[in-house]
Amino acid sequence: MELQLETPVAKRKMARKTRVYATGTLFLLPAFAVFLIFLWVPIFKGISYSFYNVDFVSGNTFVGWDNYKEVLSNPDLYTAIKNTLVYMGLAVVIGFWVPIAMAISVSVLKRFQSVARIIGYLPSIIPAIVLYGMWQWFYDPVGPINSFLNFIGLPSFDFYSKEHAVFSLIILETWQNFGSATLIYIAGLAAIPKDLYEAAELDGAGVWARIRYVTLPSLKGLILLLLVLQLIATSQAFQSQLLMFGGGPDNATLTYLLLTTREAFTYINFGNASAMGSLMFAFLVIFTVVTLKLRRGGDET
Amino acid sequence: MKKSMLIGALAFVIVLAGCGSGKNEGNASSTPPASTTDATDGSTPDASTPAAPTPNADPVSIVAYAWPADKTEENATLDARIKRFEAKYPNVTVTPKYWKYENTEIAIKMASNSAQTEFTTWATEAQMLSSKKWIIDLTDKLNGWTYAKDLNSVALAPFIIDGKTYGIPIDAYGMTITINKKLFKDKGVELPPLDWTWDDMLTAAKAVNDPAKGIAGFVPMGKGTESGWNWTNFLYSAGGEVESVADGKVTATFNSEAGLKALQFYKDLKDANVIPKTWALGYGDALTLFKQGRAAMVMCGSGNALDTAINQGGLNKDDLLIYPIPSMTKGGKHIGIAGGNYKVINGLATKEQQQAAFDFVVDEYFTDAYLDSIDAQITSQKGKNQVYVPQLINYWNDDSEYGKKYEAVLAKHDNVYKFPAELSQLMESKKEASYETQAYYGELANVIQKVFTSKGDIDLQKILDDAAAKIQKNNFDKVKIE
Repeated sequence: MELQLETPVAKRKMARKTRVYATGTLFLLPAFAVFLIFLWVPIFKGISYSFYNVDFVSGNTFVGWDNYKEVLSNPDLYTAIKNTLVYMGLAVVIGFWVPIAMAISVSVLKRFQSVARIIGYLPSIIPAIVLYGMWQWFYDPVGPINSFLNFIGLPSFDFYSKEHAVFSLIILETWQNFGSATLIYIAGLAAIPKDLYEAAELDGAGVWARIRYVTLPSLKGLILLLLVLQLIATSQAFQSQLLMFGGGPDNATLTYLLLTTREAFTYINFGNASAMGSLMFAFLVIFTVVTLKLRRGGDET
Repeated sequence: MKKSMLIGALAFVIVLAGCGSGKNEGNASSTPPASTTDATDGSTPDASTPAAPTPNADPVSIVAYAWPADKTEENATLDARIKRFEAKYPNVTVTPKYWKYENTEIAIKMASNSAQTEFTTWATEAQMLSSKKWIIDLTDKLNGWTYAKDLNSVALAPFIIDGKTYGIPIDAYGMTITINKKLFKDKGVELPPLDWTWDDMLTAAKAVNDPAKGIAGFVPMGKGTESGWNWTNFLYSAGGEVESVADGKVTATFNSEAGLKALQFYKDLKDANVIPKTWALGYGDALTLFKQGRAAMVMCGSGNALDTAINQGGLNKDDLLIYPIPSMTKGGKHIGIAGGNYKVINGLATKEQQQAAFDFVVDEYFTDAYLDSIDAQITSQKGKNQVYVPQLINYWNDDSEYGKKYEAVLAKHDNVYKFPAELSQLMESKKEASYETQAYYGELANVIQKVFTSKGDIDLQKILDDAAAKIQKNNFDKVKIE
């Protein structure tokens, strides 16, 4: 009897709770649907395609690990991995400090700060097709850079040679992308309390000491974040490699993603391309987890 | 606990979604290509889903291959043609849609079933498109068509595979070298003879070359599959072959003696410094350098470089000349790659749509309406100060009745480019390789780039052998010849 008396009360409570909960959940549905259609389904389809010989008309046939075996036996894969790693490394060495330096110099400007910010951001808004045409001209033997070098009595620089091609791409990419990172750093700089600088100045710290002991440590979190983002972005680079050099000369600028694109769209082998995509996906997931773990460890200390 | 359950449920849903879609894919693709379910989504706007009372009058919608929006004259011609066709076939609705055939995009267009019902493609694509069943066998349809026997057999050849015809030629080309005569004149260099050799070409390139002004003697394509396509002309003129087919097996043969000679010629061009240091030139890049007056010689299909240079670059038509591919030695053959544009029918369309698309494609073949539209186009180009550059090979035979009518149309105008009569006598065009052609061209791009960017001596035979071994293992060994 007691049970019978208690149930209606409990039921009402439960019902109200579920109702509130259900309404809330409804608001999540659009986001869920969008993620499902445009993110999760493609990811899982990609992984499942990597086990198939993909044929849109006659039907896919299951091939097990064949695509992976084929991908791993392709010597170009190792060239592409090496090139991608070199590109990622060089992009850090040559390009990573540029936005930091730019942000610091812009923030110490007394005048024309907003003008400098706009000028710094301009390259990012140039459409890709114009950009590559422009750089082809910059790198031309009779283009502005080589004309200038010849003018001051230096020999021409061969931007298209096998040794220099990656370097040429990094200059181009840095020039195009440093603007947005600069803006983020400027925002980070604005958040550093002024009194830290005043205290440092009272202690007799010069410009370099202030940058070394106040600015850079305060930006540490931001620098790490942007480093991870840059590594992820450069690991997936292929656009400038494709448009400037087509992955050449002799595969010197063939990146992992460019090889994947070539498998899929030039050789129409979607199974292999999906296998390559899945390998990359697995690698990036592991990389992200490790970075997060490391960062968490760093914060605790 | 609740959280983990939620995550678990989410993961389950995702896995289900993944599996579900995978299954659907399998089901959809295992049905015959001509099923209505395949064709009603995507490409056909008003698909014929509502059932019509009589089978003959069933409304059919097809999508035609349109020009890009800035080609107003060509699009107007197409619209007029559609009107005439729809008047003749009232049950067919034709919608023009723009997508230009690209070998790197076709797979996506087929996967999403958004390619036109009839589209234009190139000679290289016949084997790939037919083996994937992305285009249909037209043999039966052609047998029922009055004019099938009048089609130019040279133009038709690349699309005949194992006795079946998969495409209808629009026009065909043989590879040529276009020369900027003005650059020769400016430097006081004599033009090479039309019946020229590799040596003549190298000598001419050296003489006209002017790196300080950014002018290259010759601009070979060095980036993408087109670089292999360019080089193969020298392979052919040296008497070489890309591949041989025997006992159901494809074998790479481009690393032959002829191949070595052709590659040595590229090395000679590089060592003579007559090619641009900016070797990474695709088709468009090379033609752009040419129309800017920065290249004395460029290689492409019949009059295409000429067309671009005159009608986009504003060069004078009298400053340009077309040469055949040079022969390796004096008196040798001027062999170049043959290619062309073809009409094909989408393999994913319904049977009715395929028939309607075929009817539409051939509707005005060998008719006066087609000649009138060419006439109108030439007139309109004259108004814009442009020159009409005809194709060297057409879908009809030049000495046929129709061919003569076409010549008469061209003769009426003074803004039509005239090829020297001697040219077609010298030119010998050879079909492109049939199997894994794009993969071969792509691998050759690496070979050519090695030659263009290496310093000092390199072992050309080894480079060719390595490329041949690689393409043999990765591509040719996997070809299944039915």
